[in-house]
Amino acid sequence: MIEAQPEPTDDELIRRIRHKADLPAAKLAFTVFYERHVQFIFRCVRSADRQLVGYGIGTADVVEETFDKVWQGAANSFSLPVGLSPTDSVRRTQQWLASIARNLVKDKLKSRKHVLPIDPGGENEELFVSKPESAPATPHLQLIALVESSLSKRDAAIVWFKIHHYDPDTRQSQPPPEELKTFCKQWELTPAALRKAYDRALDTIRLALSPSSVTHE
Amino acid sequence: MNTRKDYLSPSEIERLLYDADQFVDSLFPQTEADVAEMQAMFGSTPIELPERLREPKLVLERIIERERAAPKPSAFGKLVTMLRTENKLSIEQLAQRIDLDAEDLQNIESGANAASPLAVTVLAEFFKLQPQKIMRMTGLTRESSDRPQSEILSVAACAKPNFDSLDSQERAMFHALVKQLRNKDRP
Repeated sequence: MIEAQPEPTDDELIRRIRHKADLPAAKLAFTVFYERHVQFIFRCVRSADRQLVGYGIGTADVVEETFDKVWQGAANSFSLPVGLSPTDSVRRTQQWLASIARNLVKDKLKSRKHVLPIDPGGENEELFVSKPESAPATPHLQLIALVESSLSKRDAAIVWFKIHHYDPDTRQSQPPPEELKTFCKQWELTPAALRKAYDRALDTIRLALSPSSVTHE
Repeated sequence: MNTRKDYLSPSEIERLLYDADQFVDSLFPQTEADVAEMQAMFGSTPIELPERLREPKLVLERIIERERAAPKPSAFGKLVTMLRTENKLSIEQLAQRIDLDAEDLQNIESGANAASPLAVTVLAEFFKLQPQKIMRMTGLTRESSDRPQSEILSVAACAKPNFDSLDSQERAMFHALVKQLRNKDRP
């Protein structure tokens, strides 16, 4: 009698994906992992895309890029705690995949200088249950677009880095020292220069948001 | 008297930016409980995926193809990165000093674009390198060098991102290479 092999756990698949020295095994693990989670991630991204009407983030692109990140090395930093139930293991894995997709969507939104019409290529038209008449951008998306259009790439990155660590209760942005160090190194800045650039960037945004900068009477 | 407040304070702007950032975060599940809720909402019946996402093997093939096609830093690009970071210069600062576009310089360092003869000349001059040797290194001249290029290749292959991350032995090797590139060829 042949015993059925148990399905490999996500942890096991991730380990095999990481170990690219055995490429065929890594590829096989990737395809099993992909098939297990693609439906959930696709639905998450599609749901976000529907709420980001006007931005056309490209659901299929984001899904593929999410799994691209897993293959390229995101798997190196992911592991599941020992003793998780299969249900919790799947949830934890999908939470991690969703965070990759979320960061990709944020990057896409933040690199857009203008609000695009919905699904400009018409490739994903069937994915939209009810296509809105127009594609209005929410104030949040307009603000994101304004940051990107009024600041340099570096200053926009500084703004989002600081805002990521902003606490609305204390009204302070205090990134953890290690993250601050890594960010400063990446952009070749001193912490003092970062603070100055951030203050200047807020001033630029203030001017861009000021009604007097829009209407000249 | 105009009492209308037509500008926002920095902390009001920070709050608006924070809300925008949170809005995008809120589009995705952030906790395991969120995931469970979405799983329940989606149900267990699979939906039809766009054609390009249906076949995992093809998705992986595209991923691997992109990985292969991604620009890799050239030996010259890596050399410029190392020298620039050793001199504590940002890309913008170096670009300004040599009157080169910062984006062009970035592309040279990352390997996205090959260095033009002009860029090679100004960079070689700035870092006091022998232009002819750099031209050979970048393949801009066809002169053959009888000297082994292993040191140059080792710079290109170095996985360390900048000079600061080199250990003492690697720094010594790097300085030996730079010295060699600064010395004129013997007739």
